[in-house]
Amino acid sequence: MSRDYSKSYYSTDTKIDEDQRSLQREIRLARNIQMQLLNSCNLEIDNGRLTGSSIPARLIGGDYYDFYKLPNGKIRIVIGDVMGKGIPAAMLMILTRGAFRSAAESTSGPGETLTAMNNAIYEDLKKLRSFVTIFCCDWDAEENTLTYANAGHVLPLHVQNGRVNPIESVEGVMLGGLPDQIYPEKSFKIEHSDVLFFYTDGIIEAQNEHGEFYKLDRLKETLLNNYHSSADELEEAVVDHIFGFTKNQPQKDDITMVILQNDAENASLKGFNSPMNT
Amino acid sequence: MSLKIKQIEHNSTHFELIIEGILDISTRSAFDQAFQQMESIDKLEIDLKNLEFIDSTGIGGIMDIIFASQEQSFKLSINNMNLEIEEIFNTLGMFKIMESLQVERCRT
Repeated sequence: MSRDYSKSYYSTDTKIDEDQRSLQREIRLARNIQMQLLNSCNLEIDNGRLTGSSIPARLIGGDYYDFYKLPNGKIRIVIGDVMGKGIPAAMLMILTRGAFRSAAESTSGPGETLTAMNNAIYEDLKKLRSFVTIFCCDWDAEENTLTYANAGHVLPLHVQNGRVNPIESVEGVMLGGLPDQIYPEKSFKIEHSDVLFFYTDGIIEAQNEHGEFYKLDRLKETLLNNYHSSADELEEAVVDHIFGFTKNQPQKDDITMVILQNDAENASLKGFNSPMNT
Repeated sequence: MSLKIKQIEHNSTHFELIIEGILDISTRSAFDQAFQQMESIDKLEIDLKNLEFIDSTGIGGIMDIIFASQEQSFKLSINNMNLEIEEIFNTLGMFKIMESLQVERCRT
């Protein structure tokens, strides 16, 4: 006697479809939460312009940037990259954001902020075998100075008088690398119409169809060709140039940038997230 | 380019892993597997001479072995990385971690 399995097959397929739809819905909700949190940094300031954007390689990502207006009028800027990609990295990115927001309130400078963040999340990161790289700085738009500390992140590029160079290196171990870390600080003057470009390695490691990397040289060239434009236009030019280089290749890593433009005509600060490229 | 791992057994407790190619999110599991296959380690050498690219997930794999060397009390040395990989290690503070956890580093 033969049995009819078609109904049970149908039921199983339907269950899988429902599970997949449910999972997709939850991931989209998680993406919305992440985008809202990254979007929450709209501030108005004088003497400059600051923009940020992040394009995750998957629905959600592990890159992070934030701007925080301090009671003394300075702006604390942070950009970071969690090890890995996708949902696990996104969960740790939220942990990192919480550590930054708590530390920013109670610490006097970027070095202390990184120390407080490492103290807060070191044990969790060690347990999870993960780490986070973070660059943190205070922008004083009145005095035109930038004071910074670094926890293993790629150094920002300083565009000045037609030249692009990384800012002077300052040592610091990534968060989750070692406990009880002190992060030294350095400062420098930002001149009129200088641009600071903060980024994550997803930009220089973007690959084309031949497996070639976008690399620092292409990024520097794009910045040099466009740094007289507004911060928004510069950001658009960088994104266009990267995707022009990679063409239809799938994006392998999250791409995040923050642009600080000193003495821009339209003094304001905003953060936004670009729609994900699919 | 993918990842190639050559394992040399100098003796029953002294091993060497020679890493070639790309250590990233797509190859990390092969790297982890190569390490997990070794038992009773007293000394492990990792040769990165022909490592062409490493991303944060790959760095996580190296970190795992560094922490394992502390937990399992074996001697670890990470050797012969090229200048690009050395720069990445330097930026991340990996050399400070290695120094702090007594991981050796050799250049040829």
